[in-house]
Amino acid sequence: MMHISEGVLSAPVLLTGAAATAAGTAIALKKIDNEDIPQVGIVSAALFVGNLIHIPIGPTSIHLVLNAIAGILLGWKAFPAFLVAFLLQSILFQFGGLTALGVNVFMVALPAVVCHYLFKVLIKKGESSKWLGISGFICGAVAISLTVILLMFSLIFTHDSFYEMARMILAGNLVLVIIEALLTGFCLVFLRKVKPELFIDLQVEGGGLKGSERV
Amino acid sequence: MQNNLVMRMVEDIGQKVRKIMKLSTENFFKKERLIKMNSNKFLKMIVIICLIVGVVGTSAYAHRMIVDEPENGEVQVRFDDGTVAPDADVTLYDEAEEVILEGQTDQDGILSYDPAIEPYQVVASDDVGHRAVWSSDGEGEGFFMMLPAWARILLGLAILVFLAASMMFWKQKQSVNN
Repeated sequence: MMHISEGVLSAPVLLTGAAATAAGTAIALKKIDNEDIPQVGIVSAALFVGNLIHIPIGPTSIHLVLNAIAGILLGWKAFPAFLVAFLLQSILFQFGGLTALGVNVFMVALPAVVCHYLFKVLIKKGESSKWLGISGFICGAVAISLTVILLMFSLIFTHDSFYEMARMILAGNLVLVIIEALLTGFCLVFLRKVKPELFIDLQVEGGGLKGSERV
Repeated sequence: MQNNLVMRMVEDIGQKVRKIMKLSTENFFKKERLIKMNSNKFLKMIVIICLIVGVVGTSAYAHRMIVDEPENGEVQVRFDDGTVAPDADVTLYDEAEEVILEGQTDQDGILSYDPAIEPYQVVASDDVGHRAVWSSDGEGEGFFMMLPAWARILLGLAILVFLAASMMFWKQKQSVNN
């Protein structure tokens, strides 16, 4: 649902999206360290593949977005991760138009960055695995909800019937909100079990994930 | 009495297994902290992702809208996950790019029109940002769409590895210069 095709959006929307994505990517590339690159690469690969897999639900099917987990792990670096993943999907699978790339990336990467800061606030409030899971759940739900809102916002200008469009999008994505929320929660609990130092960094530091620097 | 003995044996084995598992996980974490996340690990992860893709199967796609070739006055609009696209707006154009017909698909994703019409181009779109074009001269199909899905996934991952590697190389060079 997060891949707007070629020729759907009007030029001002496309340009705004492209500019916003370029800005986000620029911020991220300034922050990026040599040690961060493998991590961004892995998350990008996971996003590239994760977005290709669809889960059949009722008459239709949904595909994962995974922007909450990407945002929590990468922060601003979610922008280049999504940019590369979506660019490859667009070229290799024709998911989403090339001209709509900026809008598509912005729709998922901005909520990812929001989640990064939200998670940092949440994780300070508790230590237990249960709370970690709940934080993940909240972040997952917030990320997809924000993405859906941005999707509706970008489609406002191209549709006569806002009500019809909103109804379709909400019906299709309500299940996704719950699935992504659960998935994010489980992912975080699992990640803390196998790589606990990630979370120490998130709790202590301000500047994103530097797991490799803490030995 | 015998029952009791068996129970005790099971408990004993259980305890031993737990001990071993605890030891190995402790070792695992110790090692994990020592190993830096390097490009070697990145490659391993890529391999794992490839395997997962293989297991999940190559029929897995996201949503892409497709307009099938119009036949006998019917044009089918569907998604590549196998579902059809009901209530999609379809427009038929002739060679002069004039609109011949506008309509909506039915519950089966099919729009029927007069078989006498020969559409040159068919454009379909729905309310949530999907759009697809079929053209009688075969335009619109990308070069990569000829490859099978698994090949495209592998190609994508290969490009990712290449990008990450060249980025690392560049950054390293930069830090050496400084």
